[in-house]
Amino acid sequence: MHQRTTPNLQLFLDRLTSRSILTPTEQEAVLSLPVHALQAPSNHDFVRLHEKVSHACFIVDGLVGRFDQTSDGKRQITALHIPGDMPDLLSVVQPTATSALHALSTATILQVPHSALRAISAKHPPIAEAFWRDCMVDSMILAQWVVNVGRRSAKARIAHLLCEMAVRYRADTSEDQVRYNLRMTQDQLADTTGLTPVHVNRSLMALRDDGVSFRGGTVRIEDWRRLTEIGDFDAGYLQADLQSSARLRIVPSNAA
Amino acid sequence: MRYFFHLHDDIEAHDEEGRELPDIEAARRSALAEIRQVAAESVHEGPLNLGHYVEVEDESGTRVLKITFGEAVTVVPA
Repeated sequence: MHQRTTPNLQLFLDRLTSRSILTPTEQEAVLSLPVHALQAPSNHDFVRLHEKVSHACFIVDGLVGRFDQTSDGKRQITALHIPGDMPDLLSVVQPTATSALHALSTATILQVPHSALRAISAKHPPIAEAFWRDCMVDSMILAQWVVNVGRRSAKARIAHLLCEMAVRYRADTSEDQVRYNLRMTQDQLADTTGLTPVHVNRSLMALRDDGVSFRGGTVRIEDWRRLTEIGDFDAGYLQADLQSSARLRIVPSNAA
Repeated sequence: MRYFFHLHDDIEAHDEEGRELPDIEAARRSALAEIRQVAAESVHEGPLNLGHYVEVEDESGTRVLKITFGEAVTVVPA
């Protein structure tokens, strides 16, 4: 009973095994990683820019933004992270934070020591492979975001982001109508898409005519396919629907 | 003080969130920055209507600023 309510790494294991093949022994090793739980209050950096860290952060609950900034202090959200993500897994190999991690809403975080992540990677190379793929998906998302801010109109940027977050939150996109919660303000959407809050609001108003509403942290989409067309969105890069035959495993299962 | 930035261009975008700013001068700077960004996309597409405007309300609902696109940009005639 107690164990069920204690924040644990089950969501992390679920994420890893959605893209990679891990044996029961390897899965148990992931769940047995040592963790330190903390609550990050809303609008708080729980990893500061240039901070040297000795742990990676796993998100159990809440929404997290990776923030980068210009020398004159203009901030840009360069990644959004949701429960199941380990946004700074790469800190194991790059321990000085080149971006801040900021709780956009109250977040429950599990800190996992780098030493433990190194040890599990050394002992179980397929887990290192799974980490590799996790980091790869983050970089593929970032590439899409570069296209978003560099090449898409304001309306298309918002549409693309709303589509991406629907898939990442595993909203049911098999029907026309899609509903999910996205606890973000217009300011935060603006920092995510390289727009200003008024421009975000204008884009959301324009999307209303296409059957999209975003109010009170709830996204309501009446015509999913239409929104994917407006946002020029193809979910392939998110690797969300990988068949088991396509999952990565370089080390054969029987060698583990 | 919370200020609300309502955009009136070819789309009416009523601001329901607003943002905390120290004073009306900060609100004016924000409004100018907002207009320049929205106008920039208009220029990108071609037509720019200098009569479009942003209206700023304070938290009591009083209109404290109205800035047209024409006031927010400097157009140097050819």
